[in-house]
Order: sequence, then structure tokens, then C-alpha cells
Amino acid sequence: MSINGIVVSAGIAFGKALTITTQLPPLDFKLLSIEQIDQQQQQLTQAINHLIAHLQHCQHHLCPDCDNFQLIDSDIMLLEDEELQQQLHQHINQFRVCAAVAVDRIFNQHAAEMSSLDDPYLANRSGDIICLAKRLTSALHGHLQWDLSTLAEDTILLADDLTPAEFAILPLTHITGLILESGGLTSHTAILARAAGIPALLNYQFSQSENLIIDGSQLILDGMSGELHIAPSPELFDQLKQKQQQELLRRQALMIYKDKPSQTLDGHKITLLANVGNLSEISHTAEVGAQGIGLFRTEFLLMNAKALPDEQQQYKLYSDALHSLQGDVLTIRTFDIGADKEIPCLPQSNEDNPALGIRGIRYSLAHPETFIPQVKAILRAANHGQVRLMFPMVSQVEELDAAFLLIERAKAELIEQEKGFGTLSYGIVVETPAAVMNLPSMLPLLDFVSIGTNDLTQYTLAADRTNPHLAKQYPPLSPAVIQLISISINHCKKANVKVSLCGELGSDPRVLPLLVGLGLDELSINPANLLDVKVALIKGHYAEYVRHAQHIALLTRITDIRSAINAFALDYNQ
Amino acid sequence: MYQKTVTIVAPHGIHTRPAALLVKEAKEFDCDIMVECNGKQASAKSLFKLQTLGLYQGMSVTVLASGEHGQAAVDKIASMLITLS
Repeated sequence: MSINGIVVSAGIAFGKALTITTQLPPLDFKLLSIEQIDQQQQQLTQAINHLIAHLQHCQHHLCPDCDNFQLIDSDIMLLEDEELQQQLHQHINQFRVCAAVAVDRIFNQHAAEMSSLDDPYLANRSGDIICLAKRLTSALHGHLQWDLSTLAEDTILLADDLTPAEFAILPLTHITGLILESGGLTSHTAILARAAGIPALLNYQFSQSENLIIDGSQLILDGMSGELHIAPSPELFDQLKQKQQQELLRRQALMIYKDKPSQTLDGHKITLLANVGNLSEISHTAEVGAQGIGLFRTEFLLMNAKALPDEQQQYKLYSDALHSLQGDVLTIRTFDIGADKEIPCLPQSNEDNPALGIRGIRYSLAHPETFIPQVKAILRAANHGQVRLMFPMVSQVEELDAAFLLIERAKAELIEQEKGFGTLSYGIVVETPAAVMNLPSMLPLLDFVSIGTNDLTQYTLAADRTNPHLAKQYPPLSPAVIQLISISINHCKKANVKVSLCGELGSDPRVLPLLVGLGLDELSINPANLLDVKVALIKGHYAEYVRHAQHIALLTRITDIRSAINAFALDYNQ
Repeated sequence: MYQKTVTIVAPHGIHTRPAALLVKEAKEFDCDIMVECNGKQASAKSLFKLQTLGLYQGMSVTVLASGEHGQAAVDKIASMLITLS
């Protein structure tokens, strides 16, 4: 059995299924047919057995004398209880309802009976019953485990919804692959999966799929073809193992390009930088030949932080980053808070439309108590290396004026506190159509510009980047977005301001000829894709890339653009 | 039919964990064993049922069994009811 998905992060993964669900589907009260009664009873027995086996497995990690072990014991005993099983089966049969409804009713009734006991200690145990009922209901839907801290090795995680913060605390060494039910190709969780090199697929229907993916089923995630194979045949297993091995060898072979100059055959130089979200990623970018950091997403430092790191802590962190870069440039994007990135340690109001709300620079300007310490830390760190400061979500020059005022205030505070600081280059992420149009007024204030194609696509096409239903029809490679990229580049060229691109689009080697041909000076890429992109760069002539870009500018349909890009890439690989 | 009545002394009564131990022991016997308390009756082999009896401190509980090992079963379960906590 296999189902298709959209490739979020390439690669092949082997592992056992584990679903993490936050929500169970609503109870289905429809009247069962006679055959269905039998089937529901069997499903109940199977779920009970699966859950018991799982609980016993959990006990292996525990000492038999500890409370936890004994509590699991009593859960197992309840599940094995003949009286209980009999009541459940009877309920399904008598009322012709599905197993989940029977579990809900019988367990709730039992819990109610317990909580009516006179002894408060005993009455309180009814909570355990409700909890067990939930687990059994999950098991009926094929999901056994909720606790991610004791993940088995080689797990392929299936998640209906995974926030970037949840992703950040996953034990990644145990996760070989990821299936996401929600979130688009450029949702931040997808970006994190790519950055971590974890193959991932997007499929918004796996939990509704006819064939349940039961926890523990053997899966192969083919993030090259976009297929998820459930309980694959031994032949398929071997075949994909081979494919995985080939991909590994191909990646190793790429290492010879690491120290080659990043320029086209006719000598046109492009700076290749890396997108990162934490210090450990920064320390690994040199291994793939990155010439520095083109995007440091500082808000990722906050996602699981209990408190906002203060100026001193941030100063230390940015200095450490510069130290590990050994003279290469570090582009720090100030906190991009809001939209799909929730930060528990910071006050954020509930907005109807967070992507159009107080996010990026808007948040920073509204919260100088967050922005100024960050700017001060960055200014101080600039004493230790080459730092560029970049503001997210700037759309109009007024925002820049306000930001520069706050930077002057930060500098004044540093002088007063007798703390030394260095000089910064200043830039913005161009990610709204308004920013593109307003570039002429903003460029005189800037040293560089970086085009953020993920949000630029979302705001240009009015297509939520986290909505999986829109991922295919509203891609960044659409005529509107390509034009906006082209306009931005031309504005920058005229003003003699360096122009970069930091969206996911830049990490696709097939798109490189277009981007270089449009005239970008720099690309900031996922470290995992950097060498692939570099190979695409050094294989061709700049003049041909320019012609390719001119050709694409004439195309009016997404499919035509896609074909032209694929055809060009194919020519070069031969 | 054998039977024995005891009073529960455990401060938290026979809550889930001790009840589970009691069920384990009861299952060692072939005969039916019933526990009576608060005017309700439950099989000593069903944790599910025992949980609803309200076996808390100070309650008087009667254990009943018949058959070959009925006497031994009643003695064992009754003694557990007063020693478990």
C-alpha cells in the first residue's frame, strides 16, 4: 500500500510509524449494520491488545518496584478485565454503536460511579479512567503513544499539526522521517525539517485514509518520488535501500565542490550563504562550503525558551556565532515574531489574521523592550566580526525610520553604559509586494536587500503558506512572484545596493539558473542543499542563465514556467 | 460457602494500586471470589468492578467464596484487605 504526498524535504527514510495526534476525530454515532457490529467488536479487541502490548513495552524501561510501573500494571489489568470487555462488547451489540462510542460511554459511566464515592482519594482516581479511555480511543484510531521523550529509534513521525516549537524539541536522532498533515511547503516546520535533513512529506489526508497507519507499522518514506509505502514488500524495501545508498554516495561525491570558487564557467561570481536557526547549525555551515550566513532566524532561539535571553546572553551568543564563522559574514535577522511562529515567553495578542498582523518589524517597533536589547547585543557583537542586520516584514519607509531611531537610542545607551560596539550593515527582507514597490524610497537607507520568497509568495498570491491545499496551485514560481523578484533586483542594481535571496526557492538547484540570470548577487540557502545549488551554478555560463531568465519572463503560465525550468536543468545534467 | 468480614485500615483505602495486587492474587484461585461492601458486590478478579465498591478506610468488607479452595481464597483475600495500603 502506498499513498502520495508533496515532498517537503527530500531523502529516503525507513522506520516505524508513530502518530502524534492532539485531537481525536469526533465520535460517530451512526447505527451499525450487523456485519459492522462484528467488525467493531474485533477492532475493539485488537485495539485493547495493541494498547496492552504497548504498555508492557513501556514497562521495560521501568523498575518493577516503582509507582509508575505498578500504575501501568493496573491500566493493563483494567484493559484485560473480563467484566469491562464484556460490557463494551455488549454495548456495541445492544446499541449498534461503534467501539469508540462504547468506550466513551462505559468508561465515563465508570468514572462517574467512582467519583461519587465518599472517599475523595478514591473518587479522584476517576481521572485515571478518563485518561485510559482517551488512550484506548486513540488506539482504536491506530495511535498508541503520546510521550515523545521515549521515542524508539528509527521512527517516522506522523503529525496532524506540529508547531516549529514542538519540532525543535523532538529527539531528532530517533526520527528518520516526518509526515505532516497540515502546514505548507514553506511553513516553518517544513523549513526546519529540511534544515535538519529529515525527509518529509505533506499529505493532508493520511488520517482519513481508508487504511489506518497503525503505530509500529513499517514505513518507507520516499522523499524523492513523494510516496509513502506502508508495510512494503521485501523487494521494494531492497530497491529503496539501494536508492537511499545511491543518494548518499551522490551527496558524498558533492563534497569535492566544497572549496571550488562559486562562479559560473564564464567567471560570474555569486556568493553562497547559509540559512540557519541556531548556533550548532552555524558551526556546520563551513562543512558544505558556505561563505557565511545569509539568514540567521533569531526568533528560533526563543521558541522553547522559558524567558527572553537578555542583552548579555544574546551578545554572548552572537559573538560565539561570529567566532565560529572566522571572519565570514553573519546576517542577523531581528526577531520575526508572529504569524505561524508562536513564542511562549513573549506577550502576543490573539489576532484574527496573524500573518497580516503584528509580526516582524511591526512587533519590534511596538515592543522596544524586546528590540533594543537585541540591537544592543548585535551592535556589541559587531566588534568581533562582520555583521549585517536585517529587518523582517518591512513594507514602507516609515518603518525603517522608526527602526533607525530605536537603533540610535540603543547606541546612545551603549555609549552611556560605556560598552563598546562595532559598525553594522543594514538591510531588509523584501517579503511584501509593498516593499518591492517602495524600494526606491528605502534603498538610500540600506546596504543590502534580501528577497524572502516564502512570504513574498504568500502575500503576492494571497495564499496562506501554511495551508496545504494551496501549496501546488500557488507556487513561488509564478509569473507574479518572478516579476516582483525581477523588479526588486532592478531597483537594487540602479541604487547600487547588494541584492540577495533567502527564500526556499533559492535552495532548489533547478531554479538557480533563473535566479542568477535575473541578476542576484547572493543566495542564502539551506545548508543541506548548498552543494547541489553550487554544482548548478558552476556548470553553466552566466550569459545562458541571463537568456534563460529572459525567456521565462515571457511565460505567462505556471506550468510553462515549470517545464522551462525543468528542461533547462535537464540539458545541464547531460 | 466460606466468608470472612474485615475492616479496612489503609489510610487511602484500597485504591487502584493495592486493588490491582489483590486482583492478581485472586486470579491465582480457580473458584469465584466475591467482595461485598457498601451493599454492593463485585468479583475480586475484576479491578473494574472493585473500583466502584468504595473500599475506603473504616469500611467493613465481606469476602465470600465456595468450592475446593474457597477457604484458602477467602483467608488470603481477607488478609490482603487488611494489610495492603
